[in-house]
Amino acid sequence: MVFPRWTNKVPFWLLVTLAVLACSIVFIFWYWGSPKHLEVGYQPQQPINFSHKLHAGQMGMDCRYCHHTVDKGKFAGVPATETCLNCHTQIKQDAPDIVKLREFHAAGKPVPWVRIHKLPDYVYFDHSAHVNKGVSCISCHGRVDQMDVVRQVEPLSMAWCMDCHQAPAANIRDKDLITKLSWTPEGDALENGRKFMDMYHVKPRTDCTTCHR
Amino acid sequence: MSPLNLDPKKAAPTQWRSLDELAMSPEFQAGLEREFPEGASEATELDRRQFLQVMGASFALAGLTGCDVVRRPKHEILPYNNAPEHLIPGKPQFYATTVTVGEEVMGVLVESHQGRPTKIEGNPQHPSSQGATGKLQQASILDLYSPNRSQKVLKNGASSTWDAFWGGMAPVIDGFRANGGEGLRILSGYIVSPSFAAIKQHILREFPKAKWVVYEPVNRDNARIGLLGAVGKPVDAHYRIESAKRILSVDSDFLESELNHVAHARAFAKTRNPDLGKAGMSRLYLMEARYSVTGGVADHRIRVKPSMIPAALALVARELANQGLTFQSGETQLIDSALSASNGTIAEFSPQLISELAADLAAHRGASLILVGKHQPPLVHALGHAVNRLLGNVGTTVLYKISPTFAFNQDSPASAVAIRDLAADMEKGVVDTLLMIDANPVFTAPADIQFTSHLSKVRHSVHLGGEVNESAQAALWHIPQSHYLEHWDDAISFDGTTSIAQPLISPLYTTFSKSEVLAKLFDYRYRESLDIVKGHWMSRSGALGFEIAWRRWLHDGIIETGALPDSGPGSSSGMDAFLKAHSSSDEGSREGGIELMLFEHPNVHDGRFASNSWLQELPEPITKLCWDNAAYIGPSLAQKLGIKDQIILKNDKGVPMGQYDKPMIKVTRGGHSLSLPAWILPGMADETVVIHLGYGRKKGPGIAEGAGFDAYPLLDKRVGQPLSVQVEVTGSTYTLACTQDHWSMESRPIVREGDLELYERRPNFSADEFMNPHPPLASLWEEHDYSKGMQWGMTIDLNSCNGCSVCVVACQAENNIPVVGKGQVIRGREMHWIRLDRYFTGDVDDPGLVFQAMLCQHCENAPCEAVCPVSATVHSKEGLNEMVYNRCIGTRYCSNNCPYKVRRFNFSNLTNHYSESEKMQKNPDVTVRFRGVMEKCTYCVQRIEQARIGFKNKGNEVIPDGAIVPACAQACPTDAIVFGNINDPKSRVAVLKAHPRNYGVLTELNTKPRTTYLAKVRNPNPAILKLSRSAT
Repeated sequence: MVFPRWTNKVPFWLLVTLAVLACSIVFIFWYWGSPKHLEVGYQPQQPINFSHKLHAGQMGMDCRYCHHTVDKGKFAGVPATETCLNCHTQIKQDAPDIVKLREFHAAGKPVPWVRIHKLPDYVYFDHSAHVNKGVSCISCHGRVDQMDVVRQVEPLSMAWCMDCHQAPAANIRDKDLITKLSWTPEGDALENGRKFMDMYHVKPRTDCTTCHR
Repeated sequence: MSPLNLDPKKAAPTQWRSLDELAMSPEFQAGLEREFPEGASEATELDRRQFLQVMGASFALAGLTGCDVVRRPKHEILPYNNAPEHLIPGKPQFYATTVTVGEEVMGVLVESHQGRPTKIEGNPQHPSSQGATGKLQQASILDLYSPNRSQKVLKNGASSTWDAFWGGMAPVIDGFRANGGEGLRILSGYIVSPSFAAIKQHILREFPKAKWVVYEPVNRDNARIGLLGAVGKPVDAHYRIESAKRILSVDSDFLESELNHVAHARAFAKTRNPDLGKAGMSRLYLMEARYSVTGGVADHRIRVKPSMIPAALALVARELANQGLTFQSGETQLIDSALSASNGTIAEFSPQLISELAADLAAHRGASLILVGKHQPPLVHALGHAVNRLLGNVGTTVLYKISPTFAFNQDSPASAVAIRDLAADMEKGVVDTLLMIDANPVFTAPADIQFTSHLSKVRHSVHLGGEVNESAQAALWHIPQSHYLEHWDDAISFDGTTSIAQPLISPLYTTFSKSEVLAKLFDYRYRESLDIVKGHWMSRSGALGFEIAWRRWLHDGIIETGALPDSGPGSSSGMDAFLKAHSSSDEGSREGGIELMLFEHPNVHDGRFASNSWLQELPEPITKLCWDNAAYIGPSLAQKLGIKDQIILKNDKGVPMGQYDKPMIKVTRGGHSLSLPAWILPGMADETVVIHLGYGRKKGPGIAEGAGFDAYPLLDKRVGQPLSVQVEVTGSTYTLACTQDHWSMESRPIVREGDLELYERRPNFSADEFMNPHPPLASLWEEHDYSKGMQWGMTIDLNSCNGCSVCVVACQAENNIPVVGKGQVIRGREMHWIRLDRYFTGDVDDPGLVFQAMLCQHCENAPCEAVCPVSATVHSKEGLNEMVYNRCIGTRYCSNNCPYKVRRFNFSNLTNHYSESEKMQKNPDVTVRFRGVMEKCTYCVQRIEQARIGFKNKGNEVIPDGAIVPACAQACPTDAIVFGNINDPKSRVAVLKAHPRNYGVLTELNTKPRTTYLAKVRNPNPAILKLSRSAT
């Protein structure tokens, strides 16, 4: 006997180990490699410490004061620097971030905001098509009014889009309440959603060219 | 091959696309059975071993880069500091401006994406456009972003600066101030801009001894001189084609290359509706030596040798006189000199044909029209107008109006004379300074005047232009000109419509407009192009309320529409003097033997668009050649020379199929000769060679260089005049790229055509008579229900389409379609989503022509969808055949299975090498495709979705008919393409689909195409048909 007896089990355990390893690798990529983990939670440092919590939350500014093309075009629009200065020529002029903002403006340079929500180039998403059908900001962007530093809260993956396009009722509300992020429906949320779906003729399409052209 | 197919060997096709197809040679048939030409699928630059090496390397790199891509790269959003008004990011804005090509002025709307112009559309309010465009205007946007644009001042070819130029020229101009401009010559193209004309006036006032030379190589001088003789005033003829019932075109390609062709094409198409009946539908007779697109739509095309064209018209005129029209004495002399100037024997023309033609014209007095081509000598123009007057057409189908641009150009003689005078002055050494303003005389001047060698005697030669061309390199100074979308300008179109050309973008490089350069050099009141234009118009309309008017002009793109007074029929009192000057043989067209006709190329014009890759790759409408020109000869001349039309088709390795190796011929005139490939074009006049000008740029920038053959050295008369030449076969061959036979459809009834008599007898002829026998049309799958909601469909009217190809360019601009280059076209890899098929019909020597735009048919039972292994091509609920680029893995099964052969595959990485400026042209609403992806017509789905979102945002669930216009339909001058919702019975497209002329292509395959065609109906003269039948 050259090999001891226990070596008979080596091939078996080797196979089991390999199988577990293979499954783990697949699982790791499948689970942690999905947009749910790679994208959600992305919270980059912005060049200016703008707080949505302060502006949209505590002060209750409407989202559309700054993102004013959200119901008109594809992009919600990052506001022009002059929009900030509408107020900040009067308010908190000496705060270091406002000084920085004024420097950008005076130099004629755009503020290099870091993009958080990014869809692939082959996706032609249109904000206005959603907002005008009663989809609130909260459905994709979460409680931005509670974020000091904005982070991504939804995966923005195609499967996630399709979930809503196939059953939108949970995300449809009165158009007047779109930017009221703290609003919660009284009674059955789905019932409420269906009411406005009928009213706004919400019939989300799932053809490929709806988003890919 | 399908058992449904008619055996091609049994019946020679009545419609054919090349001589090989007509002959059905075994090589040709072998080629047909492949869906891509031989070699199309193979990598070009790499063999297998190299491929594996490269692949190995890229796998290794992929492994490395895989490690650190844990999060996506940081991406910035850069907002405006101060946002422009009314700008919604992602929504294009449209600005009205004006495009000028030579004498052609067209009002356009330019699509701008956040300050980046991307696409040209027609301005519906401008009479020359009426919402459509020509292909030159459509493609002109590419020149703005061309990496070949001139960006720097050059002195003797070396890089210099604007300051050096201004500094160098200041003492020269000061010298002229002292001597009144002695020795100063300014050469420009035809002037249509009032503000530029004001600068010209200023210069000639300040420098009275200076001379302005207006030189346009391709021009309408003959028409102008002829009209002056016939009418006695400097007028333009305004044709009302829509009210003409019988049209005789004498070498006039009025649907493509004549002035105002877009409006003419629209008006002509309106008269071609067969539902107007025998009394209402127009009939077009056409006499020409070449084969033009207008010849393709003619009901009777009469092949005439170039030198015989004047005689042909004179014979018609004489026949009209015999039938009772009374010509005045001067006009009779016109007929006589036209007959005597022609060299050939008059007996060539069938007297019965001429007499029937004349009788038909005479029977439609006041509703007939004679059009004479711009290349015909003045004599023929005068004669044409004499006939028009006698037929009572003046005032009904022809109006004479004083030319609004006459005053701008009147101090320079006709171009052909002006350039000779200038060359003579240069030779004498009296020209000290020559400014070449946006012109390329070194390339385009007739060879015998030796412009280039005389240019070296000019002390200060300056070239202003958008590219570093031959003239730029021969001149002392070259200064870069800004593109028309980068500066202010204005223009008057020939019908008197004045419009402002506004810039869409600041100059990309340090460039100036021609007005700005001359204003600064000669110290004009204003310096900036805006001030020059605005100042000019303020001085004309007064300062009161000017700002309001100015804003309205900019918004509409028009200052005033053509309200030129009709100057009446005029008088022919000047006829004697005119005859004396123009009846000599030199002015007529006495040449004999084999005759050469040189004229501008329909795509690259006189050469000025040779560096535009869209226009280079756009197949020439008749021959479908691209990236080259060739000597077109008829089959009879080919036989005489012993040339066989050979396509080398090899099935094994070696010469790939689709390559056209054509025999070279040497064309000699005087001391000059030119060797170029011969292309046998059926339907050419006997003993005639046609060569297009504009190719063979020797020092052209970028792609222009090396493409084609320069025929200018053979030109020693005016463009378009017949030149007697010797032709010999050299024995060598040359490879041409042609899209003619790719994706052939074998001999199935793809294009359906009948005459008015047949149509009135059997309106359903297109559906009834051409249907192939087929098994029951049953589907293997359960068919979808398309009866609800909006269902998109398209009709293409073959009767309106004249083959001008603007749809192909418009589609390329809208859908980011890449250019592949000559080598790839040879391999059958062109990417155009629209293939404009050209079929010859009937006799080889004198065939008819039909065009058919072939694009994705959006079949309800799409064969491509069934075979895609990854569902990259699927059907939408609204009937679109969708192509999902991101799913496509490039198996090309779909293209295999497409019976229409309309799918295009990205064989190479065509979009990766774009320069930064080229990227700016791309439409942001359409994906730029990558290598290995299939693509095809989408019905401009981006426009459908934008319209849908726009209407839904306003609470409107239904998109009204006409709100969605695909790019091809928008650019089409004849409205041949109609798109809409076929479920709405009132929509235009549904009405057309219910029309008896409507038919689908290959419907026997049960594909249920959403794109259908309206059969072509011609309106031939029954009496002439009887003649030709009795002759055979």
